[in-house]
Amino acid sequence: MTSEKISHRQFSILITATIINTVFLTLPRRIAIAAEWDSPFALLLGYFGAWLVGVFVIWLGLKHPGETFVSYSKKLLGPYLGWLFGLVTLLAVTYINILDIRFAGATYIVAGYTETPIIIFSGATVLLAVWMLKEGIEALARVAEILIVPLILSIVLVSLAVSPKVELNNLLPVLSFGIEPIIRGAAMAFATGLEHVFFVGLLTARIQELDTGAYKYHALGIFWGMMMILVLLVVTIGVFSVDDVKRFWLPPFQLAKIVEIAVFLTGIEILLLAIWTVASLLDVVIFLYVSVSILSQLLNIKYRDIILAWGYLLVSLAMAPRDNHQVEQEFVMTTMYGILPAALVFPIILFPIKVIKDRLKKKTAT
Amino acid sequence: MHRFMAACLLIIMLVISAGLSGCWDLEEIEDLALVANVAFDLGEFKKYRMTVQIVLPENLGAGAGAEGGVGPPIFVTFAEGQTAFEAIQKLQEHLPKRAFFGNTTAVMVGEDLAREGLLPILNLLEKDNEFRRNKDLFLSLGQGGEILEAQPEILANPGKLPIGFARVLPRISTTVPQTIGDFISQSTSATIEPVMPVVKRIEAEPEVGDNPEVRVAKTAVFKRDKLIGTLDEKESRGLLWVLGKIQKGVISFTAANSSEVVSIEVTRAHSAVNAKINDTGELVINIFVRMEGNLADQTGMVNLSDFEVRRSIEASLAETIKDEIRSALNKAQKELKSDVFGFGGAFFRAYPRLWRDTLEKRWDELYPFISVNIDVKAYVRRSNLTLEATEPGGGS
Repeated sequence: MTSEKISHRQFSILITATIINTVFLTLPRRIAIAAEWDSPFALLLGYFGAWLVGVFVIWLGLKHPGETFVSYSKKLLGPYLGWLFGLVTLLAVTYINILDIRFAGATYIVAGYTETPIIIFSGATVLLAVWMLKEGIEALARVAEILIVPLILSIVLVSLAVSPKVELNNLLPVLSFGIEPIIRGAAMAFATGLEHVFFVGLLTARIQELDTGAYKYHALGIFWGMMMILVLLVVTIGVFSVDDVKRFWLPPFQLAKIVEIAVFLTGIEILLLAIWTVASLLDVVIFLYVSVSILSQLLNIKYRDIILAWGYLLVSLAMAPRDNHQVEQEFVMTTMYGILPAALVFPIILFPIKVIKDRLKKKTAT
Repeated sequence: MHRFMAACLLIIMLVISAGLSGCWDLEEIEDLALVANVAFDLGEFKKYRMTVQIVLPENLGAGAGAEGGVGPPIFVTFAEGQTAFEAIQKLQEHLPKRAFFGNTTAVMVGEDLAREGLLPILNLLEKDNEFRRNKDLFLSLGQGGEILEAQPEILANPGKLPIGFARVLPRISTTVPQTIGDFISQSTSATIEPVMPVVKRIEAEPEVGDNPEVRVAKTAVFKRDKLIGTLDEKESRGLLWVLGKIQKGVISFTAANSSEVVSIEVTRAHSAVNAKINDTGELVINIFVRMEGNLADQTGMVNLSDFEVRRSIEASLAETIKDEIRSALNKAQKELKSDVFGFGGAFFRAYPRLWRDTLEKRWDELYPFISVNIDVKAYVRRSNLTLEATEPGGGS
């Protein structure tokens, strides 16, 4: 077991980074398609659910101090089923990781770097991520502490800069088409928000002085990440209308394109793109950490020994999708049919088993 | 700590270097043709003609004795293609610099093209990474490309003509400014129809002095993305009142019980459009406008210290505004049958399910017959630096 440790605060920041990752660029469109004018409510409901699942994961982590979910799921489900659960999560997270790597490069191409091969951006991001992870989770936590600041600032400043263009009429009507659109949108937000639970399942083993304070820092991490996405969602719909947001691939990028400060200051989207590169990097490095950690624990090897090869493999696979439509569709498919069911194993299977096992243990002890 | 700092430094350097170098996409500004404005028209040989107005920075501000070139500060050229994007590529066949649209400020569309539909060419402006959705859109009476050839003497850089108009229009409120993005949104929406300001080349005009080359007049009205008619200045302002887009402007009218003309300068305005279905099932729109203004000018000696006189001016002002709104309604609702007021949106927000189930499908037939109630509250807050008008021989 590694001796690497992170503080509660770092844990919280890493959660925020995982929630924001590059989701803030793509989720407004996905939710707008599902929930239309009720998107903000769907987002809040979805992330509330994701937070709740995270609470179960922290509870399991507190019951198995120093162990990751890969390790304790073998105890709870038995070695074979536990290993199988680890494998399923590995597949889902790795697929998301591959799509994230592709996305990290695709964003640049869409923003106008059409001559530069996508592998340059994707490859550079992964190389940096590999190098960071070679330094360990502590280095990753410290880097996240620094990079989260410009990321959040960029979201807040873009939103403030375009706020005069927000039209209330674009945000109305709300709650007018029953519960169905909210549920559809919430399912999308829930599945996306659940991406963080695997990271939590690994991080609880790394928190210095793990105690119930982890609940608070987890909630804070989710709250700030969700607020950033909520702000962008409301502003993009308020500025563009639901129909436009449905059409855009990256609504916040379109938002950045129309920022005008004091008439003459325009074209800041390229500057923001540089800052949002940070988001891609954090996204890639976090999911790379999750995937390589699960893999190493399944194979009982050190992740540092395989990280470079793993990164190289993922970059190669990231070049496989044919176009950005395919990437977008596969993001949705993997989130809904990969991440969501795998994450629900924590509250639906692992949590009850642990409760029953503990009760049986108590009974036999008495 | 040392390693950590080194890692951070490297990340920052990588991010900055990616932004500065442009990797494979590196371009020097000298190699770019900076397109100030573009115009789209129907082509003669292919479907679309794209005219570009390129700024020549070396010729800007080149007066007698000044350094730099002596030629015109702009270069206008065009190319045709089956799509707008193909036209851009064709431009490059006689343009030795890459046309760069990142600084483009406005798009002109020709009248003939507007009658056929604009979405096929505007699609590019939203899709392409260089164009911006918030740039201004104008309809040109005649060919759009002709506007780009105008070189009004007032501007050292004729490329700033459209953006100049875009800044002035909200101050005079005689037409409705439009952006590319809003036009696309409105023409794809079922709840409102788009409009845009009209510009035209003028040779000479009796109302003005030296030939200003271009003037803004009227508002173009669309059905979806197709031009179907225009609103004159009075109708345009009526539309602006309903849309709540009046910022400034002057309203002149004859004061009650006198032949005196009074000019009110609008300082503040606000409007609300509410949709209702009354007890008999009739669709009703209630428009409420509240405005404030200053008495900027008067041609006679109306006694402003008289409370009744001041209130009667406000009543006349309110009636004038109502009249402007009515004329806009007559033209757009009854004659052109285009929902430029966004009444559909008002019904959608008030009755979302009914809109989706019934109204949206029948909107084209229902819209011309919707009853509209207009309520205007007008206030004249001050008469600027004088309280009384000058009166001939009135002094002691």
